Amino acid sequence: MPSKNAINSNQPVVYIVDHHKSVLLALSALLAPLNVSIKCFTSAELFLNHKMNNEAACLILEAHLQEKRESGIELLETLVRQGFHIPTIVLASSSDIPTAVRAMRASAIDFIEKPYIEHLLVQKVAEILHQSAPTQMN
Amino acid sequence: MKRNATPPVLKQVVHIIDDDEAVLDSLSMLLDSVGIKNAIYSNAQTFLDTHQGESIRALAGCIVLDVRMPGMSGMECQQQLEQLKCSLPVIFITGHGDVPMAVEAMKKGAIEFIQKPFREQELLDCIQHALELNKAEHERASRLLDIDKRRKSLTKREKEVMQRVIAGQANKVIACDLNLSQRTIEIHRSNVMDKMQVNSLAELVTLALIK
Repeated sequence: MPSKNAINSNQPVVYIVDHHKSVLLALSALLAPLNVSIKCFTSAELFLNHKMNNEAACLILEAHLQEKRESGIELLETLVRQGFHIPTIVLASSSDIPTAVRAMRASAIDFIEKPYIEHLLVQKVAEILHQSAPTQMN
Repeated sequence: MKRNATPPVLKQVVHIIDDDEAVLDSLSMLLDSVGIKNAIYSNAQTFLDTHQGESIRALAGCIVLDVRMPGMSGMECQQQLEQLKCSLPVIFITGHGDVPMAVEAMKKGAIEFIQKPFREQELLDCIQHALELNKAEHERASRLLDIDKRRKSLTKREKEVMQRVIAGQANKVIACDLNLSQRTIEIHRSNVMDKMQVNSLAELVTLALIK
């Protein structure tokens, strides 16, 4: 998958999982000014196979991967079950209350319906990275 | 509500707050039918007024809260409960919710956000889950209180000895440090074990680590 490798190992990482390449590209461009390393994945499997380091991180996850209902949220639940806690924003191409509640119960930090409001999303990601590693962000 | 029963049994009550009397009646009947104690309130303010001050923190059970009500809304009530440090799990029910509202409620610690109409079993499952969470929270709190009581029963000297024992110091070293005889340390140490109600050093360390 296209991914920009971290130059500095302490650089915070934003993982983006979405099966639409256009979304991955748009989000990468949107978040580039945050001076973060951005790693994109088109499926839950690719993300799960990726070895993660200990950097400050944030996950942006589509709720319905490959158009399969709530498969993104299943990924989040898998991560939680494995004891892996990464601050996660769930983006939803289609949404309803039960999906939102399920995502929040799976410890998502936020659940945002697409189309997302760009500056609010950037702000949210910046906040998360700042909280997960205050010493590394200035 | 009824008179106080024996303290060790947690008296859990499901508090249902909804401005729709038909909903209150049907939910109350539903809970009665499965033997779950419940209390109904036609608005949030009545609930808050009924359990003013300290008593709201001592409540056991959970809250079923309607989102949209005249006067104080369900969300405002949730905020009040948080400020009052009420630990009851909140289940929201709503006829007119939307996604941002559900997300907001969950962020503030609601354990469920259910849309009307719902299946009775769905709500019962949520309530059971909420009661279990609440029970676990009460057990944790009372255990902490109990350990704290034991800690407070120690004399200043016994606390000093306990700190050193936990740090892995031998009686000989502690005696030297505190300028006491080894025999005295042994007695303090045995008192510490008695008062903390433990039989082994490992247990003592475990208790000392619980915050």
